[in-house]
Amino acid sequence: MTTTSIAGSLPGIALVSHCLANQNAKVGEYAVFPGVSPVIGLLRQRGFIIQQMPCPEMSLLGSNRWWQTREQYDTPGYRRHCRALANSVVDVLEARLAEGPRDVVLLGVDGSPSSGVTLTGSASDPNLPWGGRPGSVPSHLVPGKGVWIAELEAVIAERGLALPRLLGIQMELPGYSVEGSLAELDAFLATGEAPSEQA
Amino acid sequence: MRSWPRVKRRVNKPDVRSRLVVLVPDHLVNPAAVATSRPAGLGDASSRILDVLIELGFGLIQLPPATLAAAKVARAIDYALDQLEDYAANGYRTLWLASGATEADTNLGIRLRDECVRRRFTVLEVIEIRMAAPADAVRLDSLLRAVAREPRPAPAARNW
Repeated sequence: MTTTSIAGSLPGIALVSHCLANQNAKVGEYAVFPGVSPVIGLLRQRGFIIQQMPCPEMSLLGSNRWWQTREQYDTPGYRRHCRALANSVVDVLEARLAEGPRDVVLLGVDGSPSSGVTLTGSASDPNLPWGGRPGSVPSHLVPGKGVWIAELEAVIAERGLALPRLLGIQMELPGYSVEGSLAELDAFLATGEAPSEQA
Repeated sequence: MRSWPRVKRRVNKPDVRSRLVVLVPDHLVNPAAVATSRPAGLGDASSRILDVLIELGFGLIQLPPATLAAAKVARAIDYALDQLEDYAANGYRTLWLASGATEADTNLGIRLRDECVRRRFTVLEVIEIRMAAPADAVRLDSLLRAVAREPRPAPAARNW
């Protein structure tokens, strides 16, 4: 096993979206792997502390939830739910950071209405929003963060921690390849440095 | 920024989820972490167990470090059990690899069991991690493989 942690510094911490370690949490038809995605293997190889986060969609709506767009999740109640989960995540993160400053990365899932980092899912036609009787309504990807990632960042900042470096794993995007995605992740992990002190 | 005009999310038919979910201690995922109070004697066993879980297609739900303050552990346990209850109710197989090798791990386990009782969540299968002898690792490996081989209920028919 090889590691790329910076000499003399503590290993980095990876906050990982729940489904990267548990594909059973995916909404129907989105599980690409049986259980754990290869992202976890690479993080282990690179010596990162892995902190799996709860899935806000799964913990609120369960495994039989419908597909939804970001607009549907963007409600005060769902944001409140995300903030409660985020505080639980930061509880653990604070304990780990008490040992000293570390490089902290946050790995989301691009395309997700909750966990998207650079891309999230939206209704294609603003005049035809998703809702009501389930059916086939067009949606597409738009630049922006999912509701969960946005709330998590807000809670991290409110609790006085430095914001993590962000990467969206693109397993829900057309053209996804395991090799390409891992190469992108590896390059991303290698660019980190342990901060001298947390904000 | 890269442009994604009118690109749809990628769907995966058939969905390949395992419908196997296992609750694991933090030290199993992070055997080298200082704050996780790795049980003495586990050595590299944690990494080997994780390798087997990944190979067999288990999805993981990671518990917080056992040394975390009790109130904070309680919140994390709540969220983990919320998800496991839903999986179990929908035909997924749910397991807990319980670690009791340190006092902190034992205390976390007691809280988790108490919460399962309070919720009347009785179908979570508990497998104690014991690594006192090489035979323990072989036994655990065999047990996990047997679980993964057992047929699981097919997912309900979908109307989407």
